[in-house]
Amino acid sequence: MNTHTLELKGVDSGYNGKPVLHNISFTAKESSVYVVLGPNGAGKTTLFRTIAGILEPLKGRVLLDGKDMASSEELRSNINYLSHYNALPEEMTVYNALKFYSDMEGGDPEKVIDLLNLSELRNKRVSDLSQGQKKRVSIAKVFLRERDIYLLDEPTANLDPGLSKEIRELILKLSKDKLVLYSSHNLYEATDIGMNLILIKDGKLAMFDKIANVRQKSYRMGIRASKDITKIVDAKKEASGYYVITVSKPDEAGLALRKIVEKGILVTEMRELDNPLQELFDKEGR
Amino acid sequence: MAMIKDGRKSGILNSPAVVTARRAFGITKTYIAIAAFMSVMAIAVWGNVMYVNSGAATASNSTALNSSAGNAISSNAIVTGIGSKAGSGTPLLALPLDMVPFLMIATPVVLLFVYDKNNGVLEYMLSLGMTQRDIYMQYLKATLLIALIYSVIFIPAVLAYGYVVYGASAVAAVLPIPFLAIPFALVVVGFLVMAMMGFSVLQKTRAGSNQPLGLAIGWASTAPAYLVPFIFPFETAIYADIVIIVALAAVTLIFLLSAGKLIRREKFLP
Repeated sequence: MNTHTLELKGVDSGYNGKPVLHNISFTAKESSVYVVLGPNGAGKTTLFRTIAGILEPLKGRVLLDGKDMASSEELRSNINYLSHYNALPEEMTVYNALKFYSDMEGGDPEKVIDLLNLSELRNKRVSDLSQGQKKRVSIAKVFLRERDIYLLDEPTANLDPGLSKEIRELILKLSKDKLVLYSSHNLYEATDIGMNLILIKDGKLAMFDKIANVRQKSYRMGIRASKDITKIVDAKKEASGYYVITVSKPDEAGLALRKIVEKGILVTEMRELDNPLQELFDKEGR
Repeated sequence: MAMIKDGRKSGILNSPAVVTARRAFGITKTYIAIAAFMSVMAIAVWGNVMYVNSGAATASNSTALNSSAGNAISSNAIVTGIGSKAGSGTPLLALPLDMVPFLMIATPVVLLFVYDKNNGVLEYMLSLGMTQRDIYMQYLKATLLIALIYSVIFIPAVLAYGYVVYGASAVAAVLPIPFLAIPFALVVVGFLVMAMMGFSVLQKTRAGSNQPLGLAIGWASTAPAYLVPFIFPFETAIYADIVIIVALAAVTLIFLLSAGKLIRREKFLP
């Protein structure tokens, strides 16, 4: 169980003295994944770099358990930051690259090679790997040594869906007793993995809440059926082939499904069409 | 850093400086090949210096018929004869000329630093709690290690060549120069690497130019040592070269110690 509290108090941060983040304040202390959402250039990476202590806040403070991170290198070493750059010595083999980091920060390269199924890449040079493979090796760094807080900047970018799912599962497992901040552009991924939402817009904190609390009031369900269902339920057929109904809670979708099935119509697919955070992202994030 | 160090495996071969030095050689072999070629040139320069010196000694003492007599007179000639005149320090020209292969062999470390910056490796090091100074130290130590290893091979090679071709007297005559060459090489490569790491992180537009500029800066740091032999007599010129070494070491050290204040962490980001 995470026993640490990460607190940002009125943080302004940026580059060359020009702030990108303005007056960011929040407290994260729950063992879970905090999804950091925001459009390109909103300041997500700057937020991570500031928490990791790479950027010194221009104003305000980043506190871990009440202690100022800027003044303590030891506190900073309790944080693992996975940049969206792979940060791999490309001239090395995969094993040597992981050993390079384990010599620096501790941990066992063999363990992470097993954990991320990297055995077949072990003796390949990093420069010879595909972007997705490099990402896997980069993610392996995260698991070298146990930390208290993990900052993962778009960890599943460039990964195929299968591997993305595996990585998300590993991160979910990790988040059971750790505090994980996870940035993503993928709204489906965000709802899959996250419990809490940190929405950044134009460098400002637009929202900090539980994802469950910020779902849209109504959402669209798509149904594929063997016959026309527009006379049975209030649905419209779209070009995609889906009959679309709008509901405000799961019960309504269930009732609609029962009505259709009772008429002897075969339903082959039923799914939520839009991401629950889409509207929020469009409204607050753009 | 304390926590990071706890997790590190001990052993010289795993030390960050050794790993960085190995990596520098791993990313390019070209500069090593050029350095090897330059070393042959440098040995030729040394040979010339020894030849000129031994020739001067023989000329200054027509009674010297054997090598042992030549030895004593040769050394004497430098100190009391040629050595007392302004410009008699010309053998010391070998000192800055010999720095050229050292500049070449230090260049891969500069390249590695830029490469690590662009790849996000420096950013990761910062995220581990390392300071700007820690990072600079890692690359500086690697450079000094390379220069030291190189000088341990190069200087005895020069002396052995001189001994075999020109005899013990010739070697004895130029003996202060190889002893100056080692500290001079260390401060020159140290200065070069610190200056270029500073340049690389402060360069606003990534326009490259790190290698030619680095070599130019390295050469510029040796430039006063080219003038010294023409201005001072041999003995004084040695002291002048020592002053140059101390000055370069001081500038490098000041830059290293103030790195945290002079260069913000964000400059290390890709």
